[in-house]
Amino acid sequence: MRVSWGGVLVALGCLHAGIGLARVPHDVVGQRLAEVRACRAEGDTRYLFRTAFLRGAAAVERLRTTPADSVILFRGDGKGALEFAPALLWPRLLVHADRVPPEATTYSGRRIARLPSPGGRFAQAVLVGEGKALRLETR
Amino acid sequence: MEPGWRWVRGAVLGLALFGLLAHALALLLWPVPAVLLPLSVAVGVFLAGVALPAALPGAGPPPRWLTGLVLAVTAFALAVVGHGAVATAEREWDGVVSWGLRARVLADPRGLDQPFFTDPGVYHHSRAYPLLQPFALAAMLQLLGNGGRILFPLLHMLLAALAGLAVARRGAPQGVALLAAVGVALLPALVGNGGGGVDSGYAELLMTLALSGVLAALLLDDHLLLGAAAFLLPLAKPEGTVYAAALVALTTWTGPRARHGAATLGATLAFALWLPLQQRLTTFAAPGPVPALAALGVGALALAAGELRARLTPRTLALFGGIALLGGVAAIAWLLPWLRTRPDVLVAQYLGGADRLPARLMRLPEILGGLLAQALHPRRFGTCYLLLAALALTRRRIVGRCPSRPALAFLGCGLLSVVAAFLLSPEPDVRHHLRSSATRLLLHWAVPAWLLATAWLAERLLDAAHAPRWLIGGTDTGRR
Repeated sequence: MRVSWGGVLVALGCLHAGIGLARVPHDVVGQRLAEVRACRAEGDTRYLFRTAFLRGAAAVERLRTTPADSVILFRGDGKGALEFAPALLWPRLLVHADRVPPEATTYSGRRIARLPSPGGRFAQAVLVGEGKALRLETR
Repeated sequence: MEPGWRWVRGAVLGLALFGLLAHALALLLWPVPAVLLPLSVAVGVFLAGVALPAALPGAGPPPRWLTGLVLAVTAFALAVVGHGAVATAEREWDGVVSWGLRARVLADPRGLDQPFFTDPGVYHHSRAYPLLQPFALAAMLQLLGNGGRILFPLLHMLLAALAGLAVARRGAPQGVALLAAVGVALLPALVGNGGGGVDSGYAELLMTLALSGVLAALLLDDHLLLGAAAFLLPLAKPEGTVYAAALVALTTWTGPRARHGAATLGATLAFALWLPLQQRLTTFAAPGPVPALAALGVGALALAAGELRARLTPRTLALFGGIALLGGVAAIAWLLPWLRTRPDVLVAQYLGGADRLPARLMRLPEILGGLLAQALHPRRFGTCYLLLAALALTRRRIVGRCPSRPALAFLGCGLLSVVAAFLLSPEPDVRHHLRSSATRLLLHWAVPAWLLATAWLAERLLDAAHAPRWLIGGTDTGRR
């Protein structure tokens, strides 16, 4: 059987559209709707941390209870889980703990976020980045 | 087709106008009003008929049932992707931590004049990244709340329409133009889930739109569109700087003057606005005149080189080309110590690691293999790279002439720059870098590749005696 090269090219072009069309039911529709449902059900923080294989969503959720115009102190590894914190905590600002003296209560006119420490006293919250994990400590 | 193309061309011109005004306002630390985006697009559409080259006569439409079926499925898919964009905020890594966050901060009326951008103590993931998409998304968020993320499906539709209508203006049968548009609308890497997809919030969509604008302009000899698309390149993503430089270098050596002038002016204006703004974002000080003057100086040199090239014989041209290449390498070597002091600027990170090159060259087969595997992966890019490769590697006698050699050369330069990114990357783990970035970098060039491939296929079909009627339509164009 003689194969026309023009026919092969047309077939390649149509195959491209065919692959796109074939992927609509599962990838475009099914998977997307499942993602949207999961994100809405879990909340953005838990959804993002789960799907990115990160730990420490609870720390971010706890900091979301602080006033929206506060400053959150952080230290540790800036790569990994900590990258999500500024977006999930906005409009709060993340400032490196080393830039703020321990006795300071404000930074650039904003109050530094405080949370109850294990002893029950309120103390400044520090978000610690540890690669794929986040944890909270107070100072 | 004419009104459709005017809308598409006008939208690209309007986006460039918005970028121009938004960056000029941001340089003055003035807020960017939300209405600037729709107003700019309206002005762009109004001016869309300016310097518009004539379209080639096209062939008849494919069967109605085929058009209806394909368009219905495509519209359904686009609607679902649109729902994915507006149903929640960003759901993918870079969309959340970089592009989406900066847009939400810019939606604050203070614009760039707030601690997130002006205080070095505040954590900011990607300070030196371009701001065009954040500016545009911020405007949409101000106007429509989270519904402003409809920006992404709108850009997606613009991209698909650009591909289809550009191919149609080349005189392609409407069936092939439809194939071009549907191939972009349903490109797996765009409509699928994950980073780089339409609703991921990544800037890959904007980057490929700018590159496709360049390709379409080269195909259609549309210099105004070329200038606008070249302007968008450095403002879309850090890689756009390299792509814009490649475009200017290419037009310097291939001419004609009007094309080179448009590409150079567009890119130069973008750099003259963006580099001072980038300096402000990374140094927290008012920018000096040096970045803008450097951009204007290099642009003037490129224009002069283009003029000189037009007067040289091929032999002298080759000599000057060699000298320019050596000069470029020497300039990078001279700038290496300075580049290493700017780890916050992505292009500096890559060029600053030029000494990694010899070791990385040993891993070239692995890099090429990884990129090839991704490019030919049907679940990422369908057959767009395969079709273009088949057309480019087959003898001209069989597939005919490429519809635009500058467009093919630009694509070649772009794909080479993707390989170069892996050779110079600061990421020590090549395999990890391939896994994390290869798809996104190849996505930038997938739509331009598909655009060129379908335009080429159309030329081939119009010249073929037994082309399928359902694809090329019933009307004889007189081009056979």
